[in-house]
This record gives sequence, C-alpha cells and structure tokens, in this order.
Amino acid sequence: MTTFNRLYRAPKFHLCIHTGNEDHIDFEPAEHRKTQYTFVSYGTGKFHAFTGDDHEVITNAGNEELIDLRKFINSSVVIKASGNYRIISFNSWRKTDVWRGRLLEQNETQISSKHQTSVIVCFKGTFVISGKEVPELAYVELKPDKIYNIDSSNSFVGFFEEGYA
Amino acid sequence: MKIIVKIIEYLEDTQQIVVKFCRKNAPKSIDEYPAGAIDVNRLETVYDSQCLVESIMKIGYPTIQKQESNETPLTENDDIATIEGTDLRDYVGKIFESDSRMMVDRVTRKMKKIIIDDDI
Repeated sequence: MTTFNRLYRAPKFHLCIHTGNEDHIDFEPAEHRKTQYTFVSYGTGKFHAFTGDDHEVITNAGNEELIDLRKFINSSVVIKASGNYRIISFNSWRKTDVWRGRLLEQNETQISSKHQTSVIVCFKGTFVISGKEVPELAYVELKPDKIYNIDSSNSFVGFFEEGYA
Repeated sequence: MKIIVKIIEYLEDTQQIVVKFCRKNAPKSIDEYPAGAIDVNRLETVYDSQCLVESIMKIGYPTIQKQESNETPLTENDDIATIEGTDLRDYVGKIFESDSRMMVDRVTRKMKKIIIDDDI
C-alpha cells in the first residue's frame, strides 16, 4: 500500500490525512478540491497546481509547515512525494467558504479571535488550552473576543478563522 | 450511471458528426441539451459498432459530468440539514448529503472536539 487516506469531520470543516511512501503520485481534479491549507507533518515532495494553462509548483523541504493553498481551490493538482510523507489538509465543506489560518508560534501564550467561528486544530503533538489537553487531530472552538491561555510549545497547532472579521 | 448519445447529423463534407449527450436518467430529454460537433477522425470506425459508440462516449463523458455538476437540484432536495448528534429521532424528516466519491476510497470519522467553554 502506498497511501492511506483518512477523513475527520467537524461541522464547519474537515481534515484529510494522507500517509504515503516515497515516489507516490496523487491526483485531485479541481471539482473535488476544498483544501484551504495543508500541514506537512513530515516528508518531502512537490505540489503541482494546474489552473487553465498556468502551472505552479510548491516544494516542501521536509520541515513542518502550513502551506496556504487557498488560491488553488479551483485548480487540479498533482502531488509527487520524494520521501515518505504525512500531510494533513484543512478543508472547508464548500469551495466558497472563507477561512484564514496560520500555525501558532510555539512561544505564544495567549490567543483570541474576533471571528464568530474560529478553531484551533492540533496537527502534531499535544497542546494545552485553558488547562485542558488537546490531543493530535482534535480541535477546540473559541468564543469571539475571549482570551485563552495556551501552551503549544511541544506541538504544531493550526489556528483558523472563518469569514471576515 | 448510464450515458446516452444521440447522433443528430452526419456532415459528410466536413467529416464530422453532430451529437448530443446526457445521462440516461437526466431530468430532461436529450433533445433539450446543446449539440456539439466531433471530427470523425477521432472515432473508432474500423472495428464494430460497440467500439464506435464507446469512442463517441469517451469524448462526451466530460460534458456529461459537467451537466451533472451544473444541474440545479430541486428545491425540495436542496434543504440540507446539519446535525451534530447521532440520535436518529432528530434525523427523521431531514435531508442529508454526501459526496459519492467519499463512499469508496476513504475512512471517515467524526473529529474529536475538546470543550473548553461549556456553552460552545
């Protein structure tokens, strides 16, 4: 088996986890794409996006990072792995949904959002927010304008806000 | 899914056929779909009828997929509900949707939510 796909559903978004081997090639047509961001947990490879006659390439060097893929939501894409890999995509349920996301800095100690819907997703490791431990591939919802104490020093955590504040 | 094609015209001068495509169970007659021309040299005409028809269908298949995604669902079918719980009594009378490709190649599960505010 060269790849294993798993999907985690939440009411406002879903994650797709792809785990595969070196040299695996995956294709996703534009009509199926709802990916807003992709977190690279490990692995190296290239992401090719085809939009009309244009072709863009994004290369991952192997470090954990959150790649902004929002502008490719209507593109067909090919992913070519050059090493064993695990990637986690943050997807909306509709292409037209608007999300903005970033990885938390590991030294951030407080977080808040003005958005009506904002979520924190644990991509790798475990983090603590308001005294509660959040394991890998779990999430929390934040209340607007409330300040939360957070410790994500041992993890990679995505912070996503829906819509325009 | 069954797909159908209707050959509207054979243009011998230009060596083209004019065709219409749709799904066999489309919501309207194939005559109501737009026609398009295909060059005969793109078709398998040297073997048998099945090869010929399939070579036409292969050209039309993307058009049929586009028709399906562009069709407006009936209002009665488009009132999609969202429910977090799994109590089947809450589901009665409501409509839910899934992408059919999700049925074949993926394991899906509900994502774990950690409650940090009692009222969210």
